[in-house]
Amino acid sequence: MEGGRLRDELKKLLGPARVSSAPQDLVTYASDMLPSTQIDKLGKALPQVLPVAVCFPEDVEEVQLLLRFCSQERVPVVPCGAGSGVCGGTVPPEGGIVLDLKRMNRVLRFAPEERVVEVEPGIIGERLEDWLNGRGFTLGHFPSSIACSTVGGYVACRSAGQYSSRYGKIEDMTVGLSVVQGDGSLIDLGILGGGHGRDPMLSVVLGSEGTLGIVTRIALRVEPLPEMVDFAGFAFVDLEDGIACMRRVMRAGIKPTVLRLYDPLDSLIAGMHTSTASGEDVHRVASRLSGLKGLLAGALTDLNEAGIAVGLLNPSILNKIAELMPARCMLIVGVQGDKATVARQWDEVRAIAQVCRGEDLGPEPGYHWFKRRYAISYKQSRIFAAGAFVDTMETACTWDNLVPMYRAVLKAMGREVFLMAHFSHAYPEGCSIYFTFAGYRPTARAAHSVYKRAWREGIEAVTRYSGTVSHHHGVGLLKRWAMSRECPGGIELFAAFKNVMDPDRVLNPGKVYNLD
Amino acid sequence: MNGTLSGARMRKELGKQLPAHRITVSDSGRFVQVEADSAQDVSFVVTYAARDQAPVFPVPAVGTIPAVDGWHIRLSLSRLSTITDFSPDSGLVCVQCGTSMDHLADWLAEKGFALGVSPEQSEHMELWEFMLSNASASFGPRFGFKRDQVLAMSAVLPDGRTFRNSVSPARSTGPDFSRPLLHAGGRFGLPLDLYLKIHALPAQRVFLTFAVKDLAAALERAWDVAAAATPEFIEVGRNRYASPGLPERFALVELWGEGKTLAVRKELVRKRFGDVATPSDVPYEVLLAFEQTYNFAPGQTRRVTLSRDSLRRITKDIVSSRGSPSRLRVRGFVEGMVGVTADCGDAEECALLPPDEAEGRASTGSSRLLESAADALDRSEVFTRIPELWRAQP
Ligand SMILES: Cc1cc2nc3c(=O)[nH]c(=O)nc-3n(C[C@H](O)[C@H](O)[C@H](O)COP(=O)(O)OP(=O)(O)OC[C@H]3O[C@@H](n4cnc5c(N)ncnc54)[C@H](O)[C@@H]3O)c2cc1C
Repeated sequence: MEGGRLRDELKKLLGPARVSSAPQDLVTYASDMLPSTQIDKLGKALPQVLPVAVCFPEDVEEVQLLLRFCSQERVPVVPCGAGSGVCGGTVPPEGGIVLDLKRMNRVLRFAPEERVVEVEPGIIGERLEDWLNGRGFTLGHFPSSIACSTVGGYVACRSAGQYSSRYGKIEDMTVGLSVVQGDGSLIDLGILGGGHGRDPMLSVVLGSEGTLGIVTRIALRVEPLPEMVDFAGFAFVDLEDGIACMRRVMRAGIKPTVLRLYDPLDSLIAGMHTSTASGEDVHRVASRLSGLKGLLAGALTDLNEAGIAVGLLNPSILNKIAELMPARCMLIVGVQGDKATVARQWDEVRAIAQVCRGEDLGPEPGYHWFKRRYAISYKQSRIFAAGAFVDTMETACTWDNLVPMYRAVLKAMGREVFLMAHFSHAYPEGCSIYFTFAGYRPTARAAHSVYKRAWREGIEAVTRYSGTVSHHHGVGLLKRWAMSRECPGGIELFAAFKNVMDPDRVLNPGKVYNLD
Repeated sequence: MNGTLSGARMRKELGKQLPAHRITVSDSGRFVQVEADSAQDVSFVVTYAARDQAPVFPVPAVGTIPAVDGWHIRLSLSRLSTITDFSPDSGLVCVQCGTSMDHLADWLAEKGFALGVSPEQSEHMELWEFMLSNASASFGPRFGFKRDQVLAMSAVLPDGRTFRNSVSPARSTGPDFSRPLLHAGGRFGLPLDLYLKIHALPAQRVFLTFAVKDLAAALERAWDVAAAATPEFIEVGRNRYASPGLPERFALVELWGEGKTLAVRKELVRKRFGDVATPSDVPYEVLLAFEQTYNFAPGQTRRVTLSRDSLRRITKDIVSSRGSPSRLRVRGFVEGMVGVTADCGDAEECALLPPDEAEGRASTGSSRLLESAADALDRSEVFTRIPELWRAQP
């Protein structure tokens, strides 16, 4: 259907005020936080494909109306929460319409005795958490993007929050979903449809990134707010000891609120107050290494042109120097519960840390992290503004593969980009690794090719250790090429569900699996 | 179904990859039985079956293959019985799907480990059968349900291709298809190998027994105990035929661990039960032992997974002054679900128990979607009838 006519029809369905074709809206909704689109912007390029319109439905009936119309007319529909995704999930590669769901932001039902809350998808994570806290409950989901992401987006991407070792990922909290399918029909899954919270269809829709349906209602398990949460920091001589400590804590059945280990470089940059084994302050040691500290810390804070040129054009050298830095690894631990439980958990954690040669640094580093826990994520734009790029690769694998996989990724990506990592989201069987990498090339084109190579090398290293190519950011457009390695045979199953739930293939085309 | 199928033709086609001694043609039953020796064998057989539209049934240790009009393939997976990976650090073991549950349990015990759930009356089952069927397992607050034990898996799909997911404790890579593969009774595929979670046997195991006055009150309180102390195992039961001196209504709790933590959890269990269950000195094994007296006669014993609400209803209505069920065992207390074993006087009494509400029960809409997606995947109807294997089970 021709663009003008399509917009007219949409306006008939929703009213003119809730359909936008303003150029600034179309450009904004043509990308999410996928870093490669930011690199494009460095080259002053606008997105190549724009949506025809952005629609703002206010309830499930309107979503159904739109889908019915779009499936008849074969118009692609891209659902959008807050657009904080970093994998291109809301990019409309075939045009069509973007459905902004943020107006569907109500709490629909709260049943404290069942420990369930039901919400619309567009509610911002922080708003929901505040709402629940006011009633003595918590969802326990604290992604760094909590202020700028929606519950619908969490469910669509299988998001993870900073307290995932205690509360699990969003898929562990979701017990029911209502979903509008490609043809506009509504289906209730899990407890919303009279099934169990483990209804297998939930696990099919969770993570489907809008390709199988638009999630319009979400039932989530909630928990009473803990009496107290307490934090502390521990320093380890090397990474292996720190990881051993995390593993033992998780395998002992302790469910810490937070368990977050920084690799030596990330420990330094995160501004942790560690000291070297010989008692020397790491910052002083770093400064002595020809003023490297300024550059290292600068990579994520006050980046300057000279720093970029020296450091990011030669990532191997920078990575090598970083590797040789005599820094220790910082582990942040949080525990929660009533006073007695907290005391008991500290006893257990401290005993394990001691066995692993960890030094107890007391509460200060823990509370330092807690205060700044959302801060770092918002500094990326400064790096892009300075002409460089930065991205993150979050992967996970089993404990026995963790260190080898970490080293393999450092080696593989370190040729292209400067990188560091932290280990968070720990489970009894393994843990995730969150790599942050930065690169620079003078032109957008050259930057693109370094960026792509870095991703390829990184993912190849991850899959060699049977790790997952995404622990919580999702697949989108960015990683779909890796799905044949991540999940051979997955595309057959995906196609079967797609045939049933979206036979006209209008829902978020090209995401997760490429069916073309 | 393909009308041109014949035993001779199937033997010839399958013989292209498999040695003759592992292919048996049964004229009377109109099936060909194949012993698969590897994942490649399974894939080959299923690829052939899809091409010639021959239904495939894996050969179960416990279930019965339903009557089929025309020729079909019976696929024995028993030779796929190797434990291919054992990682004590990650608490994982990778097991081929034809491994028998009792062999796996023994193997793990020898290494000082155990699965988080134990099969009930299904020790002879092979792993694939235990996971796909509705065979019950005793689950508990610490380790969760039977299918939660699977961290990663590979499976053969109805077109013979292999599905595999990454060996990771969590992922964000699209839908998790291992759930329909495990929950839909085999409609989406047959497991080939599974990474299962395992747990080191603890330094100490503490067994607590309690005498209970009011069964309904104890059942309610058990949810609190489960949430607060996360015991490895918890059961509330009743045995009307208890020997003199043994409590007719009782609770059992098992805790793993050591030292101070264990002492604290023990105290928590006692506190949370409060006056609803009083500590008893009857040994745990004695109370557990009555399970062996179940007669498991068809129509007289039922095992079902029930929600908390249904449990409330049966404790009110069914556990009546008539004294039925005479023996009742309620375990699990995980995410609002319990496993119930009830020994009723007769089939009529058994029928008073609600139908199974299995963990992972699909909503009506979900069931329809799963059914349609399985049809879309399995156009040759190779695995369509596998779920019938489980219908006959108690
Ligand atoms: C600074 C920053 C920090 C971050 N930190 C974290 C973190 O700690 N943990 C984490 O998990 N992620 C994190 N992310 C990534 C991002 O916030 C998550 O992926 C989040 O889940 C996206 O939510 P959203 O509402 O912005 O979704 P969007 O970006 O709008 O959409 C994401 C995907 O979901 C689909 N979608 C959205 N709503 C629906 C719906 N109702 N129905 C069907 N499909 C839908 C979209 O089509 C798209 O494919 C971070 C991102 C940034 C920018």
